[in-house]
Amino acid sequence: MSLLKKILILLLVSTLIGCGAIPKDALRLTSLSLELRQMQQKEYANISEKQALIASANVLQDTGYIIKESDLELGLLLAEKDRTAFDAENQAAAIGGTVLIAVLSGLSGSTQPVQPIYADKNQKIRVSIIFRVQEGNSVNVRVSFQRIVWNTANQVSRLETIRDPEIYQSFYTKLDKSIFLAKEDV
Amino acid sequence: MKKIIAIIFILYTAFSLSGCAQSTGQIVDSESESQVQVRSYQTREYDVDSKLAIRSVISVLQDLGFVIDRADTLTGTISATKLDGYKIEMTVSLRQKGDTTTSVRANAQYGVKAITEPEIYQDFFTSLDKSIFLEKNL
Repeated sequence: MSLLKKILILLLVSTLIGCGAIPKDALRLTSLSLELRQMQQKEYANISEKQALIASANVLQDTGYIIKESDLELGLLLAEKDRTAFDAENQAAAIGGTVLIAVLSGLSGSTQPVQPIYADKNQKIRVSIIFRVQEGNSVNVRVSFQRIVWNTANQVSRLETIRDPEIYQSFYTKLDKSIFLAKEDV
Repeated sequence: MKKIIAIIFILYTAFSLSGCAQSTGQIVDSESESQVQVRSYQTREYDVDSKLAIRSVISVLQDLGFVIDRADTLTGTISATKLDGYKIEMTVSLRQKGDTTTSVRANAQYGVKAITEPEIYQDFFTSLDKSIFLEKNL
């Protein structure tokens, strides 16, 4: 394929992506929504909304988050943290993939520079926690995690909602502890 | 060769003239729709009080995979972000009308473009219908 044809296709594809269509089910409830809710929430008995909020804020600070928003009336906490996104597997795949492309490119006789595969570099993790008072002096806590990952070329490589049950379990294990400590303090 | 250059030039002009390449024109535009038009597909009214409506909105946003960015009960606005291979940011504002009616308005952006497809907002309100029904019957 000639270079000019390649440029044409790239132009077409990149503009289409930039003005791309929104996924059809972006704002539709699915069975995955229910799974997500069950993973993300937990109910705590015999606790006030304020106690739950303070205990959660403590867990967020324990895990290095910076709290951005806090609203007791509505029962909301929002926090963020910036961390490295270095991951050994991801790095190995990036190097391996780049080498593979270089080899294939060389074999095909192409003289164009090879586009490397970039590894993940940084991530911004965002979390919000919503508190809902339930009947019988209990509080429902729901936490959601999401993140933005940038690669070593400073491009956004990932935009994702965290759907790993282990991460949510790990958060609630810490919150259990924090609430236990909060109750002791009173 | 000349043909290809001509095609590239035409494509470039076409994309430049399309909404994808304007700059300061983006500041107070409503994507060539009238304000009334935009509000019509972004707004729904519900026969519930605003407190229940707000709880339902927060709940449905979370169910749709959003992280709530901010919420303000005084002005009745909630903002949230969804990251799922793409980025959607949405603001929902609620106004109590009379004793038992709440007006709910949502506006969203997908990446760097406003979402102007009424069907997408319809999807959101369909999801919100379900959430409000659940809240009412809790």
